[in-house]
Amino acid sequence: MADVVEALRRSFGVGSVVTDPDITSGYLTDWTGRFKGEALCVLRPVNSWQVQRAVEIANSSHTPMITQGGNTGLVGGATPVRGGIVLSTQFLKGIDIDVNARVAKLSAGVTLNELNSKAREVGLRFAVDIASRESATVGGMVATNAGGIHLIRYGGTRQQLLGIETVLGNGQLIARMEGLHKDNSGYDWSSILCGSEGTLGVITAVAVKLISAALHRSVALIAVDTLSGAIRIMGDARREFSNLDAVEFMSRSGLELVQRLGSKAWPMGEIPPYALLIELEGDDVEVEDIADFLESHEDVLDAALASDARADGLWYWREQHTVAINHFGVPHKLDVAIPIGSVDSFVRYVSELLELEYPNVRSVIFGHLGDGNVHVNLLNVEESDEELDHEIFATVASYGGSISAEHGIGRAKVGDLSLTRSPQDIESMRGLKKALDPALIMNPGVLFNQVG
Amino acid sequence: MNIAVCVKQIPDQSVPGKLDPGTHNLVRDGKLILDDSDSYGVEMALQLVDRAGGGEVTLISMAPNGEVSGIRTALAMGADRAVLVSDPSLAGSDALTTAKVLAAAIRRNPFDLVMAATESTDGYTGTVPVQVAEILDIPSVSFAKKVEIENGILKVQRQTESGYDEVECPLPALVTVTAGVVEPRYPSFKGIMAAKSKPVDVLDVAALGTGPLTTSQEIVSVRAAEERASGTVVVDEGDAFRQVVEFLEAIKVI
Repeated sequence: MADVVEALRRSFGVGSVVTDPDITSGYLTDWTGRFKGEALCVLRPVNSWQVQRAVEIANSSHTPMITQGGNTGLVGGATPVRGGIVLSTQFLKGIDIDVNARVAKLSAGVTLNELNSKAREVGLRFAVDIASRESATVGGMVATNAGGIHLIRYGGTRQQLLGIETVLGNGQLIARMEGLHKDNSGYDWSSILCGSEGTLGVITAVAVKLISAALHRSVALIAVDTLSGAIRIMGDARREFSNLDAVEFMSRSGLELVQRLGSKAWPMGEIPPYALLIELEGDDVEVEDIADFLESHEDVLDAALASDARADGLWYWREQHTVAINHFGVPHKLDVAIPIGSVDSFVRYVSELLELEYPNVRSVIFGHLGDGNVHVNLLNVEESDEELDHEIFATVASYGGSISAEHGIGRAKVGDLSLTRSPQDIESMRGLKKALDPALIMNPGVLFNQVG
Repeated sequence: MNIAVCVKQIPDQSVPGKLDPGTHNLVRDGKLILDDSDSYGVEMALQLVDRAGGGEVTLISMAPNGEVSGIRTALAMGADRAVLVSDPSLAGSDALTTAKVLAAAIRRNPFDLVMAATESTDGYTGTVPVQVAEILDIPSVSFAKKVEIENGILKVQRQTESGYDEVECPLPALVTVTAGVVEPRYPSFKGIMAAKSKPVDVLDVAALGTGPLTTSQEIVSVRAAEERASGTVVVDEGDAFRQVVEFLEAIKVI
């Protein structure tokens, strides 16, 4: 194994191959702290050819390769396995924007914030936005098909992709980086790699669509009694406003954690059982229009409204959830999709299940209501105890949902994939992996249990 | 307890601003919003009136084009009424002219206290509030972080570089409020609906009765700020730590 590190050092120089534990430790644990790994070394290539050379070395030595972007994942998908190489994309930096075509060509290690600050200089931005925007890289966003808060209006990461450059597990470098808006000439590598969680190859660059930077946005944080009320408000808001670009929900337990952790007080009286956040974006958006709409809606208990920069203070209540939850323990994070009409019933079922059978578990449930994406966070559960996770995933399956809406399967949900994917389905995915990664070196243990 | 709060409506700071090449004044023809730094004074005024158990918060503003959207935001927070002085002749007014106009508008109604931000986010002169106090012939206290009224005496914690001073003065008085010292409330949908019917008196200069106003200040030229020089790159050839330490010593950090 030392030979592999030696071979990498010969190819890349000492500085690119890191074994110093003080530095590598940051790469070995995922953001939640729940998944910890070990690695031979951390490799930090600066261009695609170096990535290709690294994959060759990994192939010839049968060394696992774990690609890592900003390490903001929540399911252990970028946490290394013993004896593997962590390939960090953080030094793959490069942004090239064609203003008229509205296309950005990006190296995989560019963070979402870096992309947006560059794009905003020319009045553009990336349509997908996620709370971890400061560290999350576009490569990682593509590998996990990140969804985020504006999916309801613009779609997820896959819908923004116009091209990809990747080094497949078999060592082939494939570049489809012309940024074509239309290209039906065979299999679409962007779509295949998007959401593959590092199991097929290393994404080294992507071409994506950009949209106009928001000129004006207005946000309402709405107190409601029930989730079914929140869903009715959402339905009516979608009929009333054409430019709704986020619909998020939160529940009392999460709002209480956010209030406890931070210095801000809930902006309207008592914290309600549920809260709904809606955002409208466009030149002609006025808070007065939203206030008009909310006043006439019987499900609205109260609401606070703000525009533009002040709107961040309302988003705070939603965006601080992940940080607040992690502050109070190491959570089990179940990111599931439920048909929107069943979200209310699902949340009530899970709440009752916890109350009756797991009274010590603290749950925080929130998510993207417009996408039926529910984040079930469980505190006070042993890190290795997966019984409750399985029970909830089985519930998700019975509702016709998905056990991973946007975080991916990673290492956390491997055992549950068969709940919502048929044996034929999984076998075909394995077949695809074997074809593109014959030595099975790409992120082993993620997505599938054993790939033999 | 009647409080007049000076508020400014400014161009959205998230949109890059432009200067008029002729007058060198900030172009203000787009939508105007409530200057964020004024929201702290509005919040403090609402709290003081609440605590006093009665009274009114009146917003005082000046804008060249009759714009009220920023004022509506403060009305939606809970202010009771607004006076807006709007007159084409006021475009590009200097600080003293602005102070004369605001003082005249404040004087139209009885008041116990005048509040303002320490400075506006688009103009940054930081001189208007004290000029207003001088014209009104009342005492002024700047950089307040906490304001209380007890037995007709204004008690202010005034921020200084090393902490704060406790300052007292009689009413009526003017206080400038430091940004960030209170959490401004968010308008509720009921507040926004109510704001639509709250009175906003729009006056021109003639109605103020100040007599002719002449601007004595002129912006002669504008130039770009000096670009920041690029930093020093230390290349590690075994002695980088020494160079870094030397650098830190040179700037007296260690």
